[in-house]
Parts: sequence; C-alpha cells; structure tokens
Amino acid sequence: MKHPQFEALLFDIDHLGHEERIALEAHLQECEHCNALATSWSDLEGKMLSAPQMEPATGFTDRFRERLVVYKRRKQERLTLSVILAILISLIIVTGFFGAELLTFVPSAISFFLKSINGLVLLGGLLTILGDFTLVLLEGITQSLPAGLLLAIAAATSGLAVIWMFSIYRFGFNTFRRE
Amino acid sequence: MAEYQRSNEEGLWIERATQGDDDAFAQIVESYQVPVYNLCYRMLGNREEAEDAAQESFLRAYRNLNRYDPKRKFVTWLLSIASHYCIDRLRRRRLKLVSLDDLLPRRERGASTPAAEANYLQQEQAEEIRSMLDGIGEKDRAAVILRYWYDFSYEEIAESLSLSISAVKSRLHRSRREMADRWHVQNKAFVNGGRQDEASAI
Repeated sequence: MKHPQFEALLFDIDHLGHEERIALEAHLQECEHCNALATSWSDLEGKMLSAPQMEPATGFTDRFRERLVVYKRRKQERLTLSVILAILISLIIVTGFFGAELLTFVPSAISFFLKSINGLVLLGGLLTILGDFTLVLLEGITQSLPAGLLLAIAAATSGLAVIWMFSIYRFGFNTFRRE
Repeated sequence: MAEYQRSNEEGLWIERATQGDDDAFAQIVESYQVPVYNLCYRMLGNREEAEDAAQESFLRAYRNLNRYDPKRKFVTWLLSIASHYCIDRLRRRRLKLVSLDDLLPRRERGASTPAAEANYLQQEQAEEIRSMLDGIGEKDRAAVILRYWYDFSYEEIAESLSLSISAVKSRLHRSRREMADRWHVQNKAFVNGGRQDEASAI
C-alpha cells in the first residue's frame, strides 16, 4: 500500500477492516507525517464530538409566533395588492381590446359637445320658468291668507326646525362623542 | 417506547399543523429549536445570525409543510431545510464586504471565577471549532456538522444535502483532511510561538 492510500484510510477509521487497521498502525509507527496528521485529526475530532449543542435564547418559540404573524400579514397584503393589480390589468386589457369598438357607438365629439350645450341651455330655461311660477304662487298665497294664519304657519315651521336640530344633537352628534 | 410515543405525538402535530393549526406547529418549533439552532450556529458561527437563520428555517418548513413526505424522518427534513438555507446565506455572505467589526482584533475576556473560566474555555473551544469549520466549503461544512453533531449516516447526509453517497464520502474525506492539516499547522504555530515567548523571557 502506498502513502496516499494510508492517508485515505486515516480519515475513514470507522470503516476499516482488521487487516487495513493493522497495516495503518504499522505505517503510523514509521511515517512521521501521517502520525502527526492522525494525531491532529484525532484531537480535532474529539473536540467536535464533545462540543455541546448550542441553545437559542429563551423565548424562541414566542419570537417565532411573532414572525409568523408578520409573515401572514405581509402575505395578506401581497394577496390584496395582487387582486387590485389583476383587476387594473384586466381593465386596461379590456379597454385596449374593446375601446375602439366602444368609440364607434359614441357620436362624433363636436356634435356630442353641441348637444350637451343645448341640453344645458334648455335646463336653464326650465329652471327660470319654475322660479317664476314659484314666485307667482307665493304672492298669491300671501295675498289670499290672513296675517295671523301666516304667523302661525311660520311659528310651527320654526318649532319643527328647532325639534329637528335638537334630535340631531341628541341622537347623532352626542352619541358619537360618547363613543 | 418513549421514542415511539414521541413519533406518534410528532405525527399528530404535523397533521394538525398541515391543516392550519399554528399551535401545533409551535409545538414542533419548541421540540426542534435546539437541533435547528445548533446547526445554524455551527454553520454561520454567530449567535445573531444563527437565531435569524433558525427562525427562517422554521418559517420555510411551515410554508412547505404540505410537501413533507411522512415516510422521511421529520428531523432530517427540517435539518435539510436549515442546511440549504445556511449554505445559501454563506454564499451570499461571501459577496458582501467584510465589516469593520471583523477587522478589529477580538477582545480577550478575563476569567475571574471558576464558572467564568469554564465559560471562557467553552467559548475558546467553540471558537477553535468555528475557525476550523470556516476553512472549508459551505456544503462540506454542512456534511461535517450533520456527521459529527447529529450522527447522520452517509445516506441521511446525501438525502439532506441532495448529494450522492459517493459525493458525501469524498466531501467528508476532503474536509477531514483540510481540517486536520489546518489544525496541525495552527498547533505547530502555537507551540513555536510559546517557545519564542519563553526564549525572549529568558
């Protein structure tokens, strides 16, 4: 057996046969290099085998639980963000595919603008007519009803307004403050 | 018998944890915190990093629990996750710059009481082992740790590190050789240094 083969045996002592062990022992007595190597390895191996298991600081499991909570929260956040992004991307894709088709249903931009202006003018005219009609109605009522009845209607309306405001304060605003 | 009961209990925890019971998984963490932490410490050589790596390994196990094959030993699967994570971490670490703390000389602590002295010796021994393990590659280091601290067979190491049995044997042989050489050189330097000190004192 040659020198490198003995070196190989030196680091596999647990799996040596009887004859290999005897040959190695004989070689170790002759070879100073292998003897030094065997002594070093035996010393180091002994230290490793006797080294204790290192233990974490107390509360390891509690710290893991905290980490798990953070992990789950981040996972939930990522999921929500993914859903929002998916919806946005879907909308962009749908708009991209069908946008051109949808535009064909809308009349040309100028005619659409003119029609909108006409609509607004018409709405203004209607509101003016409605205002004039209300004024005429109020004038007719005030002239036909006696002053005492008008005062009574005004007082009743004011009273209802006060009760309404008090109820808002009592059941709305005040309750909110208590909470 | 105790081991059988333990494995039954463990199986129950795993089953419950797979169904989403976090308390059952916390039981698993409580039971395996020491072996996982020790592996991370031996791999990374630093308490803070070992804590973080052990926590992350358990989190990875939690996320992949549905992939666990009950035919395998749970501890082997768990240590395999921790080994792979530490190997990745060491590879990333190599790319980072050396911190200023690493460049400063380590402070020697005085041993005033027997307990402190024992603690100091234990630390010194841990430091010696760490320096030896630091000198070998990440996967080789994992193989050595699984062999010497967990008494894993070649087959179990191969399974844990996704290697063939012959690769495990050759990695272990190479690591032992490198470590023995380094240990020999270090001790020789220490002895020579001691002799020089004695000579200068005389």
